[in-house]
Amino acid sequence: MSETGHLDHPEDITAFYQPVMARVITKQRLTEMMVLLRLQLDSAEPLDHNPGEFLQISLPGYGEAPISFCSSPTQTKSFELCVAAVGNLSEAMHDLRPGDFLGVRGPYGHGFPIEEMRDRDILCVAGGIGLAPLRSLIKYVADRRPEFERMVLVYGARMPDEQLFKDDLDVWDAREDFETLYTVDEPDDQWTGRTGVVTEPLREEVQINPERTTAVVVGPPVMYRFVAAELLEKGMSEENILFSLERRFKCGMGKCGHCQLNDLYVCQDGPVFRYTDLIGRSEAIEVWAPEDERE
Amino acid sequence: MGKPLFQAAEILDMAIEIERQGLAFYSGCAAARATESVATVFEYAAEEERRHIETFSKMKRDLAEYTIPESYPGETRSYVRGFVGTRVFQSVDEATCSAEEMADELEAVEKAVELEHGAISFYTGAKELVRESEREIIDEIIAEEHQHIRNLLRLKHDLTAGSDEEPQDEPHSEV
Ligand SMILES: Cc1cc2nc3c(=O)[nH]c(=O)nc-3n(C[C@H](O)[C@H](O)[C@H](O)COP(=O)(O)OP(=O)(O)OC[C@H]3O[C@@H](n4cnc5c(N)ncnc54)[C@H](O)[C@@H]3O)c2cc1C
Ligand code: FES
Repeated sequence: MSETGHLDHPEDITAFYQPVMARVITKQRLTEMMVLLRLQLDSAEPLDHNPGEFLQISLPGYGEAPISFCSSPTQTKSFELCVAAVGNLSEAMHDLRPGDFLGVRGPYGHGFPIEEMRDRDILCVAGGIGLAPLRSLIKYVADRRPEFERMVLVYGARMPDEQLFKDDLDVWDAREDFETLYTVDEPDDQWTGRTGVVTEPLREEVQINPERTTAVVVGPPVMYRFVAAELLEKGMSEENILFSLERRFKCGMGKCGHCQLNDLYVCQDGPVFRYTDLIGRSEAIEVWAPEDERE
Repeated sequence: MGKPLFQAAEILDMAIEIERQGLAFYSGCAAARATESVATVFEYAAEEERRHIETFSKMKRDLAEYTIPESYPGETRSYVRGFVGTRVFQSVDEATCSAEEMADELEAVEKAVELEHGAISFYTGAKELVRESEREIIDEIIAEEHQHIRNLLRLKHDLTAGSDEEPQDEPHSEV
């Protein structure tokens, strides 16, 4: 590759796009829509990812799509992906069995800036399946606990049956050095916990020191601006608020322009962005209200 | 500079949510075991909220609709509700309790005026969250709330007509 990042020779293309094979070790159904796959590279080597990064996953005949790591890099012998059945590839991934193979490229993207998060309070705000990429970070913090200060997790699911990683939620809840607040928007008869969306416990129950806190926000597009409003009201600066954003990807590595957000490529400059980096980027519609078209 | 997190149409959604809460709150107060005159005041306040729901719904119709794809039906409304939360009104249960304890209709009017002032400070804050070009729409919402307070103060004056108390204009506040 040249210094400008462009391909020098056509044969480089194959190398760039060539997936390596990973084997399914276990498959666990988490909810009706979600499965958790534990995988291992054929070579059994670790992928050395950072929490927040993603892999391009492929199955011949079903296409390719970005999927975030949901395991911590501290788990070196295998890695985990949590997949929602929403289309071609992801539905085929739901049909995989232990022993089956799939293609992986990566890790790609900019994940959470772990180095600068050390010695700070971490506030994770997750909505719905946004807990999947955050799990990678939370498990990392759990394994390296002395390197971080407070660890607060506010997690909202639509309904109790849609809560992801219930076992992990219980483990984190039981830890004295984690502060956890779980809520559901549509409770059922058995639910005895908090009700409402994630911004409610965030506003009413979470006190933070804005100077010392890094907030990490991952969830459905509707959630972001409401969470941002609460965090700004708590005195946080945009500098310390991180969002992980989703767009449709094709190449996953800054070549095709599919994932463009104004002048940024979500696959390469993100998916994790600092709020300050999104200021003035009108296409970041989940974090800013767009201009009124009449203006 | 404020942060343009929301469009005016979304603040109107929040306003409609607040008015709905107000309607439930005042109806709860009116239904509580209070005196008839206290109930009358709250019925009047509830009627004003109903009128505001219509006004704000009409204002919203003239604005561009901005929607972000929901991950489940009703998600945006849940977040709007969550955002409004108890920032202005308490729950209907609390309304019932506080109405039960009210000594007379003057106290009821004062409570309603206090709540409307709460709504005004909510909208004053919300104004910072929309683009400059849309702020006049939030000013219109605030003007509606000021009118509501004037109506309540007029009611208070009528209630105290027999006494020596003079009607007082609402202290002018910045819009
Ligand atoms: C950085 C990143 C990380 C991600 N991490 C995860 C993860 O951890 N787990 C997970 O489950 N998902 C994750 N996703 C989302 C996942 O990549 C997509 O859902 C992907 O589209 C699934 O591929 P598919 O072939 O199964 O579905 P597709 O066939 O791509 O269809 C998915 C949905 O998109 C619609 N669609 C298809 N084509 C288009 C188009 N051109 N324009 C608009 N809509 C279209 C379909 O109707 C369907 O509703 C992530 C996405 C990004 C960008
Ligand atoms: S997906 Fe190709 S540039 Fe981002």
